[in-house]
Amino acid sequence: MSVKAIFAIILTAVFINNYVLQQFLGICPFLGVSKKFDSALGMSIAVIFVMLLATVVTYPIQHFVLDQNGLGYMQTIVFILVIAALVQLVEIVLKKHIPGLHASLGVYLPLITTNCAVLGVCIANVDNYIDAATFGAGYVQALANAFGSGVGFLMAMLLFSGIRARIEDNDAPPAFKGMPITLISAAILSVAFFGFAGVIENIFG
Amino acid sequence: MGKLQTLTNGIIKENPVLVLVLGTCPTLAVSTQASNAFGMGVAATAVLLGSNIVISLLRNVISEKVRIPCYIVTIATFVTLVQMVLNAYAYDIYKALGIYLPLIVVNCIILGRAEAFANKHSVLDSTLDAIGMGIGFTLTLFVMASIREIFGNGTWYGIEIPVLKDNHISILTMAPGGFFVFGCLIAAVNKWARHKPVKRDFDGGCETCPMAASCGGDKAQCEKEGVQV
Amino acid sequence: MSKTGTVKTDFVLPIAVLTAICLVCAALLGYFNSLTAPIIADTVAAEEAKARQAVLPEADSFTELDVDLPDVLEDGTKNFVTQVYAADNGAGYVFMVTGNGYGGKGTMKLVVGLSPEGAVLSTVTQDHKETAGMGSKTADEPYRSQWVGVTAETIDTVDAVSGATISSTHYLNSMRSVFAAYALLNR
Repeated sequence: MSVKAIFAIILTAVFINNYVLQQFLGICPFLGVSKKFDSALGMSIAVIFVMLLATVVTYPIQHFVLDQNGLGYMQTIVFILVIAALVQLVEIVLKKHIPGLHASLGVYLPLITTNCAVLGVCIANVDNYIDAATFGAGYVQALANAFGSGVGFLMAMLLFSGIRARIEDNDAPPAFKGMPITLISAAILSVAFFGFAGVIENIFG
Repeated sequence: MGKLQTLTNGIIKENPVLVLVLGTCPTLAVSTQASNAFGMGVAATAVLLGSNIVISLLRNVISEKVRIPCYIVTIATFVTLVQMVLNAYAYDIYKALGIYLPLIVVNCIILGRAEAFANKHSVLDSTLDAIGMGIGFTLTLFVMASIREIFGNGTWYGIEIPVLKDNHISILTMAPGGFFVFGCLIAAVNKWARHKPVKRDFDGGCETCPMAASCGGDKAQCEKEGVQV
Repeated sequence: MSKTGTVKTDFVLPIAVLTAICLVCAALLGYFNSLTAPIIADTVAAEEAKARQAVLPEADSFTELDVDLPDVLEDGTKNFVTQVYAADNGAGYVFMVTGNGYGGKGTMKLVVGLSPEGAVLSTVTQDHKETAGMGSKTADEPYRSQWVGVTAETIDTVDAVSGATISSTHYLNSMRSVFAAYALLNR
C-alpha cells in the first residue's frame, strides 16, 4: 500500500465524496450544530475521533468474527451497538482522565451515536475495502477513509458555519427564513465542491 | 387526542420531514428517483411500525436506564429484517438504496418516535402514530423525488416526459439539487400553512440535540418528552 | 429511577431485560436469515444470468467452464476474472469480472461478452462505487460502446473517460485480464 494511494483516499473522502455535501450523511448535525463556529468545531473533532475509533473496532469485527462465521446479516445490529458502547466508553474515560477535553467535547459525544455519518463510514469501509485474503492493506485503507471522511465533515461544518453567520440577518423572503434559506446555501456550497471532481484523480492518476 | 388525529398528525401537522425536519439524510439521498423514494419510504415505515409496536408493548418492562440500547437493538433488528426481505424479493430497490438501507437504524424519525411517543402510549395509538408518520415520510419523499426526477431527468417511473426529456436540468438529480428542492419544499409548506417562519433558536443543551427540531427547541418540552442530550 | 432502588431493580432487571431482548432479536434474525438466504442466492444468480444474456443475446444457454485461473496470468496481468461461461450454441464467451475500482478493491463488477474470435461484443457494469458523474461514466455510453469490437491487440485504442483516469485504468486492467483469460482458454 503506497503512501500515494493513502493520500488519494483521504483527499477523495474530503473533497470529492464529501460525506455531508455529496453523500448526504450527517445532515442532522450539519444543519443543527453549524450555527456557531465553536460548536461546529467541537462537534467535528468529536466526529473525526469517533469515526476513526469506530473503524478501528468494527473493521476487525467484520473481518474476523462476522465474515468467518457467516454472520454477515448481523452487521447492522452489531455495528450500531459497538458504536453506542464505544461512545459511552469514550465519554466515561474522558470524564475521568481528561476532564478539560470532556468539558469541551463531552456534550457532542452522545449525539454521535445517532449520527449516520459514523455508521455510514463503518459500513462503507467494510463494503469497499474488506478483502478476505489479507487484513492489513484493507485496514489501512479503511482507516484512511475514516480519517478523510471525518476531515471532510469538519471542513463542511466550518465552511458552513461561516456562511450561516452571514446569512443569519439577511433579508430573505418570509417563507424562506430559517431552514429553507439554510438549505439553499448548502446547495450552493455543494455546487462549489463539484469543482474538485476529477482534480484528485488527475493529481494521483 | 382522537384516534384519527393521531393518524393524521404525522401526515400534515407534524410531518416528520417538512415540519419536524427529521430524517433529512435519506430524504436528500434517495429522492433522485420516485421508485427509490417510494421503496425507502415503505422500508422506513415498516421499521417504524415494527419498532413502535414492540417498544409500546415492552414499555413497562424496559427500564429507564437501558431504554436507548433496547430501542436501538429493536430498531436494528427490524432494519435487518427489512434488508433481508428487500434483498430476497426486491433486488433492484435493495441495490438502489445501498448504504442508506442499513442507515435507517439511525434515522432520527424512528428513534425519535420511540422516545417521544411509543414508550408512553398504547399499542393501538403507537401503531396509528407509526402509520401516520410513515405515510408522511413516504409521501414527502415521493413528492420530492418526483420533482427531482421529472425536472432533473425528464422521466417519471420509467415514463419519458416529452418536452422535459430534452431539456432536463440534470443538477437537480445531483447533490446540490437535493438541498435546493428540499429548501424550496419547506418554504412552500411555510407559505401554504401560513406558519410563522420556522425559527429554531436553541440555547444550551438543546442546541445540539438531534431531536431539537421536534420540540421546537423548548427546553422544558425537551425534558418532558424524555429527550436527553 | 427512584433513589431508593435496590440492586435488583437498578442493575439486575435492566441488564436481564436488555440481554433478553438481544437474545430474542439475534434468534429472530438467525431464523429469518435461514429463510431468506436461499432466495437471496437465487435472486443474485438470476441477476447474473440476466446480465450474461444481456451481453450475449444470441446465446441460448450457458455452461460454466472449469478453467483454473491463476492470481497472476502469464503475461503478468493480474487476474480479476471470477467465472467464465460458454454459450452452448457457440455464440461466444461471457466473463464475470470482479475488478478494482476507484471506490476500492473488488468494487467494480463487469460482465463481458466476447465473440468466439475474442472480440468484445458488449460489456455491462453490474456494480461499481465510482464517483458519480466522473468515474461512473465508465458504466455508461459512450465509454462502453468504445469497447465493442476491441480485441487483445487493439486494447490501447480505447480512450479514457476525461477526468476519470483512475477509474478508466481500473476498467482497462479488468479488460486486460479478460483477454488474458481468453488466451488461456484457447490453448
